[in-house]
Amino acid sequence: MESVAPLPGSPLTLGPDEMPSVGTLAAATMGESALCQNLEAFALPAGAVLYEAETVGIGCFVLVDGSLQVSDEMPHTLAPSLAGLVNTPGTLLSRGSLLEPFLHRHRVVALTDSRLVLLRRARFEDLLAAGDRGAQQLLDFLLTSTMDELRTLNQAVFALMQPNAP
Amino acid sequence: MFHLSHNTFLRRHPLLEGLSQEEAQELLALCAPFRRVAGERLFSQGDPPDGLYIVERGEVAVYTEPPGNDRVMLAEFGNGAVIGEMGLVTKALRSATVEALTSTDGWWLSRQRFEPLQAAGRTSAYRVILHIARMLEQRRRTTEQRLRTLIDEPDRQARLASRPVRELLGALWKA
Repeated sequence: MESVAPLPGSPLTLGPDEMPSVGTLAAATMGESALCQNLEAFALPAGAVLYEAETVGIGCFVLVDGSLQVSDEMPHTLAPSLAGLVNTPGTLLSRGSLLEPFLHRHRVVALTDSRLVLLRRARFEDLLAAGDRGAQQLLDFLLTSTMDELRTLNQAVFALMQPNAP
Repeated sequence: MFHLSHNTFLRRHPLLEGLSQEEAQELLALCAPFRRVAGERLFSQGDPPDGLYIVERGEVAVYTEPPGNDRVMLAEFGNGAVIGEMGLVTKALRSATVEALTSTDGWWLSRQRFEPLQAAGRTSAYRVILHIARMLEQRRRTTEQRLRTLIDEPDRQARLASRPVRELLGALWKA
């Protein structure tokens, strides 16, 4: 039997009103979906690591409250840093890990005591296979945001490859 | 009309991997064959999206056609390639032109025929969407890495300082 990666923090129970909407899903949809029952809530104390760069993602995290520091750990690059403060409830982290066991590109640490929920990739896939509407809408959201970002990336690459203006 | 060989090709294609017999049949029923001679286009940049194409035999090239400039080849694909997958799941106009380099045939999954399946929440449709999302996420990561490499190149610094590039990068870092 496949071992389940442990939660990065201490498990806790959230009230129904505290459960964040995932991927901007409407509350009505969430009510019809088993998505909420598959979210694992946990507390992450200030200073604790949510995940390290170059480790395999187990799923998508959603910030309930608190604040996180995202550090850009990509070596050998002068690129503008993607590092930043995340403190908006409902922010998704590691969303690509819902699709594939990708390696994390960042290190994420709790700046203050924080609460999050985790949706594991395996549970997400199970929900999709069962035809869960909430999971389907979350996938629609992931797809749209990935496409938008890819288009912008392609435009940036193309713009950078143009010859310099005289 | 289906030929058994084509059905087998599609049934074994990674796009339909993991589907039950019923799910696979539901999708196979939506596919129609296509054929292009060398030099003929599958679709053009700016076209409305019409679905995705699966190349069974042949080679195609992807071009971008910047206004006022010569077209630039972005990639070549061969047997088994899935082309124009965004056209199945988005209303955005085609962002590139795809042209057959050799005589090419394969299968077309129509957006118009796929949409009702997606709207009904059919698991067959969402397995395909999951596959597409994985492909796009992988491509997003590769493109981001390419962008980082370009940004590091000393002779790109002038372009990097230009307003359009700064705006694009600003949108990305906020994403």
